[in-house]
Amino acid sequence: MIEAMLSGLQQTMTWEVLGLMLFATFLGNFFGAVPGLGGNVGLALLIPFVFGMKPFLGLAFLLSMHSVVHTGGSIPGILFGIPGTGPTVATIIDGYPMTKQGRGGEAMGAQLAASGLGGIIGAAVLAALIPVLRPIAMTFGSAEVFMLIVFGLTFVVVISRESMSKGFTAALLGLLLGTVGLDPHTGVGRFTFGQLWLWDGINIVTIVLGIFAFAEMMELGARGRAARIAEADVSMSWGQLWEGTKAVFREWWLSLRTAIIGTFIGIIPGLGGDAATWICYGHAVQTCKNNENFGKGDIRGVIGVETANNSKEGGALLPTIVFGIPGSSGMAILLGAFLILGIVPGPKMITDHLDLVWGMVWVMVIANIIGAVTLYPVSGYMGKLAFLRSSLLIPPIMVIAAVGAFLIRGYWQDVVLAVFFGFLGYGMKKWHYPRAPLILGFILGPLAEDYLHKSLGVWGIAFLKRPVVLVLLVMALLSLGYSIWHACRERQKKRREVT
Amino acid sequence: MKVRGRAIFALVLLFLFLGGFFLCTGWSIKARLFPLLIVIVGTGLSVCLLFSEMGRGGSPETEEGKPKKDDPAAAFKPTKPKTTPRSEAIMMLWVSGFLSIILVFGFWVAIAAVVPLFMSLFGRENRKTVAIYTVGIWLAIYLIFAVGMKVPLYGGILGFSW
Repeated sequence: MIEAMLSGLQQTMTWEVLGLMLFATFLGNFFGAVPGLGGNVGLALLIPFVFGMKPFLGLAFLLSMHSVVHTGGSIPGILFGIPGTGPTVATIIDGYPMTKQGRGGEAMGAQLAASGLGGIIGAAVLAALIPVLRPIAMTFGSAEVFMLIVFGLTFVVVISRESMSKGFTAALLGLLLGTVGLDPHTGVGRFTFGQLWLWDGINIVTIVLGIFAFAEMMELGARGRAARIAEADVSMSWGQLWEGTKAVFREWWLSLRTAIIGTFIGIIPGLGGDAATWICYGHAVQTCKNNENFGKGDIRGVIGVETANNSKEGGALLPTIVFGIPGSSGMAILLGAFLILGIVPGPKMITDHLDLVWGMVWVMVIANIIGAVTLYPVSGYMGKLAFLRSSLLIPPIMVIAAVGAFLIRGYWQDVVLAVFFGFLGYGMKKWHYPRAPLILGFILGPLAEDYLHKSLGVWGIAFLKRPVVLVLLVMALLSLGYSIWHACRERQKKRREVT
Repeated sequence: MKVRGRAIFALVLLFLFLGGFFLCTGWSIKARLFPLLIVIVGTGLSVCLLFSEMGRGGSPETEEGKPKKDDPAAAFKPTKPKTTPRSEAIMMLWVSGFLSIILVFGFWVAIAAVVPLFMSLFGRENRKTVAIYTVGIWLAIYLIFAVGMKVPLYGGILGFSW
């Protein structure tokens, strides 16, 4: 084992690999930071460039790019409320309000440090789990995954403190939007209105660009030509970045917990990175003391999401390399690239090519460090953009959002949909409907339906009697009950204070 | 007037769920099971929200604008410029206009036309800034997508692709 570990490190620490990793992390940050591109588009575009490369070199290039996508992806989210990638949506909830309060530097510092740390912990957990993976993965069948998703859905209550009924309505709307397209079990076209482009459903990025990017820009413009994103005129400084970085280590217990949770969620194939960030955000809200500022600019909200965001990639790599089952959509593309490079994932990877597996672990660790460190000097300049007046800020963001909506699938209809969701998002913002539950419902809905049908098909309704399912069901009910009780108590407390 | 806006929004949501309900009744049981559950609960919740919004007084804007009595920090908070129905309508028209030009003339023409128009008419920026900005944005999009990534952007109904 030690020999393989050292051999992996030796393969990684060459000038050729490190130079290529540096370039790949720059590309990864770029693909993450441009809304609508993301890691999958980046991987798809870069795969042709690895043809003819040495296997480890190509692997290091693609894996480094993929590992840091979410590090760059959070930058537009924190600064402008525009998520660069799907899983970074949860960062906006606290990161964007921090920028509005003139604490964007702190949010960026926390984001960069948490991303780097999360990625390193994810890789470390990956390394630690390599020998014991098989029995853990085997305990999760479709029934257990379904209940894990139900558990994730209970977090709607946690992120809808302002109005639970509006939060639930938004989540249901998200669930409904998630059913658009061909039903994978029956082949029935649901809410497709005979349109071919709707057969694959609606893309998450289209919705996110609409209800966040377009809605935010409309609101900014409606406030007048001189309006700015940041209300308080405090520029982003090294001091702020350092404060944010320190906060990650001050909140080390939260960072560690969310990174580990993120890694484990990443391991479960099909659950996806979006679920990991939301579950970790909900976990941070539920477990942190003095949590009344979550959603209004609490740095712990950024830390909880960002550590999970990068750590889940370590988890997702496990089933990909050990079983050949991609842990996420990005890993599915990466799996294809591995095959192109002559690397065949499967159980033999652990027995015959352990040095290669360790090499991947080292690549992830180093890429996460490079990805975060190289963004530190740039983020200060990026932060200044938040103080631009709306007439200068709206045009490029509108253009990028529209181009991003088109690029996802190459359909002009997606641009129309993004604008429609922009109007919807504006209405939601204006009339105090939380937008995050809509995204949560949209992400988890199709997964829940799929695993529900699979579970019913295999076990019937008796799937609810499975031990792990029961444990998860009790946890979901407890989480829901506790959140409702807590919200009611808070409301009573406020009423008493008023009277 | 503003109370009506909130109620109308709740009504729109109710129509979305009701529309979903009628559409999914035509599918097989397996296909409609999950959507039907969603729309039934959604319809119920939307009806409750509609009644609650109709019976509610005041407006979010006026409530937001006034500092809360029990919030001592409110006095130090920077005041946020208010939105008005007119300013909202103007922004929505800009976005709709941008979309319409994309659909008819494609991205390249839409960027070249809407960016300078928006900056001059809405932002009242000087000509130099408008020119630099327009050329900068257009070139950045061109270099990244058309040259760098070789991704063809939509050319509109008239087919102005690059």
